[in-house]
Amino acid sequence: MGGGYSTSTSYQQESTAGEIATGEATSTNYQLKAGYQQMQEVYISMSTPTDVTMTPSLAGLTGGTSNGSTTVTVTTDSPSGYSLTITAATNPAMQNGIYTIADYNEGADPDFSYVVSNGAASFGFSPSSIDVASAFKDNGSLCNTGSLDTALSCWAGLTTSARIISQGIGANHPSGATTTINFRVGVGNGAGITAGLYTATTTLTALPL
Amino acid sequence: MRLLLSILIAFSLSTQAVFADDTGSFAIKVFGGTDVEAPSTPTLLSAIPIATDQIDLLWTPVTDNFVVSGYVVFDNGAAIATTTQTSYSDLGLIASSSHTYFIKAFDPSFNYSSSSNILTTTTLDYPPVPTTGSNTHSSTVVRTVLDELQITPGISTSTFYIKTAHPARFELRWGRTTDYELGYIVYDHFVDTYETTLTDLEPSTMYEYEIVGYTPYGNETILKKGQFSTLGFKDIFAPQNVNRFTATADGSNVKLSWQPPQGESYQYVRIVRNHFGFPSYPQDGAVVYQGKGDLFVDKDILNLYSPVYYTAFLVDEAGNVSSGAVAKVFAVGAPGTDDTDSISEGNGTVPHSGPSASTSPSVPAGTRMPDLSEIFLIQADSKQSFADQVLTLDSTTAFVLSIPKEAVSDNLKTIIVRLTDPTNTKQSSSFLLRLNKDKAAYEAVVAALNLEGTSKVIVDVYDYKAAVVGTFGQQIIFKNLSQKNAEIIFKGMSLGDITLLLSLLTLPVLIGILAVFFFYRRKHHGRRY
Repeated sequence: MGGGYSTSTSYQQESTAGEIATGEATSTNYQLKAGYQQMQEVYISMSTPTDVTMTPSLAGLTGGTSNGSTTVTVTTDSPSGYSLTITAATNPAMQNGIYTIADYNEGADPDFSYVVSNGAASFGFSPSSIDVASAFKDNGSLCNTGSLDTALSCWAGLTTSARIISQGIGANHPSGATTTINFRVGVGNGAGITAGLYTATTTLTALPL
Repeated sequence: MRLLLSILIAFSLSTQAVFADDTGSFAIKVFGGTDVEAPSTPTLLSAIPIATDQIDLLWTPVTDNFVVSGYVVFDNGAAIATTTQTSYSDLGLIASSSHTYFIKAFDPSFNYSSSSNILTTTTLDYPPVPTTGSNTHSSTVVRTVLDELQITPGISTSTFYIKTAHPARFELRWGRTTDYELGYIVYDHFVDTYETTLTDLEPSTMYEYEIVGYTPYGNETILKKGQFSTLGFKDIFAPQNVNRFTATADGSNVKLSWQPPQGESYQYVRIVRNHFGFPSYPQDGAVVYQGKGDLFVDKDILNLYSPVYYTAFLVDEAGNVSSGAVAKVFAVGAPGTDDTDSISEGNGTVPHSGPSASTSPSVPAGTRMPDLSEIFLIQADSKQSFADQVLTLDSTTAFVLSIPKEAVSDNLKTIIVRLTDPTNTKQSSSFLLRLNKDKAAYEAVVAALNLEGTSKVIVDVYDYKAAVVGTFGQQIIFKNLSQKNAEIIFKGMSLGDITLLLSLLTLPVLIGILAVFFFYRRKHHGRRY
């Protein structure tokens, strides 16, 4: 059997040769990989994230917060683990027609506590997981340092660029690893929010490493 | 959603590792201002009397400008239940009683919709009792008939799916015997499909069960009796590595040899080659061999690369992969060649006796390295650390070298353990440590050496530049402790006891020999005369 892994200064090549009846066949329950080296792929799956209804509504909120969360489980057999990213469909994320709520502005690192200024409102998120990304780990008072995953800490704003929120370093099947993403709208004193339904469409992507 | 994803390959020839991703989109909603808009009005589709004490309701879902929080069910003008579903079973009713239902929907601001249409119905009546001595056969005995039964066993659970032709109320009883002593479930709804999961069961255990169905008129029928068995524990543990994995240059070829673990069943050994570094997982390079042999020649490779790195992964029957035994080989005469020990790795200090630890001065401050007390050798119930002065292991049993995950900084993920041969210190085997299933420790399972003597064991920690930044050493005394245990048993016995034990052990053999002898004589005797 020919083939294999070969490299030069400019190229890397992996090939097999001399096989028949190779390739991929699928049914509802099974996926068949036929052929030398066909099984050399990893799988990854992510549970379906559910829509989030934040409570309470923002009516009359002055200096208060509205909260919600969703949880997903990522399962992979990738020996190198996985990464989970979050992306907003729009900028800013939370919109109601022409009316918007600003994305949380955390500065260089996520804020350990959610901060909202008088007269302003913002929308942010805080992930929590056994695999939470280092930027969202904390030392009890600061984020992007330490090894803690303090509940409802390390807040950041959504962007239209993918941002890693969890990162596993090995295979985790069959149990998988869960990540809970907490969302918060903070309304400062005197902030006026136009009535109506605000929606942020968000995408989570699990990628094997 | 659980997807097995693959990337379509442009050519029929397969490639190395193939990656894909999985995505999911969702909406986050919040209502700004005051919501005064009520949900739309539901339509009550049906109100069906199921039993003498049960009526089932079904209505349409509604919409709201924000979200629908739930529904309120009204009976005879009074609210009787709140639910987020679009169906409801009204239970505990009186036979032949009349009920008038309507539904209202509401949102998070408790804005209520208008009332749905009204449906009125009456619960079933009890069947008439036949008059004593009557010759009429006007009443019909109704019994529950089982349409379908599926039992899905788990390790500690089993799920029952029951389907009947008409609505019925079910009882499920189970136990280790037909007394069904472990428990029972009584479902108080009349339904035609029912699913329930038994929990707290023992793995690999057979149970007896009985399913009883009751008609809406109270007639009892034993639907099914039988047995089910729970599954055994799934093997999720990494298997033992191959031993004595060596790579030797033979011209431009590389001769690879290894010893599979004795007495262990496995699917195959996969040997992966890379010329950048040791393959750390079974797809991390070219697969040069896969099978159940113990020798392979990788041809014409050293005229392309030197050094060449190999990792041998053992895959067990459950698909678990060993951490990997590693070997490196240089082309003859190439820089770095070490003819005396082609598989030696690392450059740290190798201990002559007792524990040792050395850390490279280039290691940045704050980098976490294991203490000697955090490098463990685990064998059966015994757990020793490098900090112990004397390490003794049974030469006939596999052991695990384990380092807690938190003992090593995340950027130092490559850890290799070298173990010299107890009978030849110039020979050694090397193994990768890999994060175990529960992500608690980096581990390698080393198969039984079946050799007695003293070995040096060296743990090398590599940084991202593949440079050794920490070396930890100890000596292990390998002894045949199982043989020693047998000696201890005999030492505790008198000469008479030992004689009696040996007699008992050899008696079946003597009886067998005599039986064969007499059988042979009878056959032989019969043929002659």
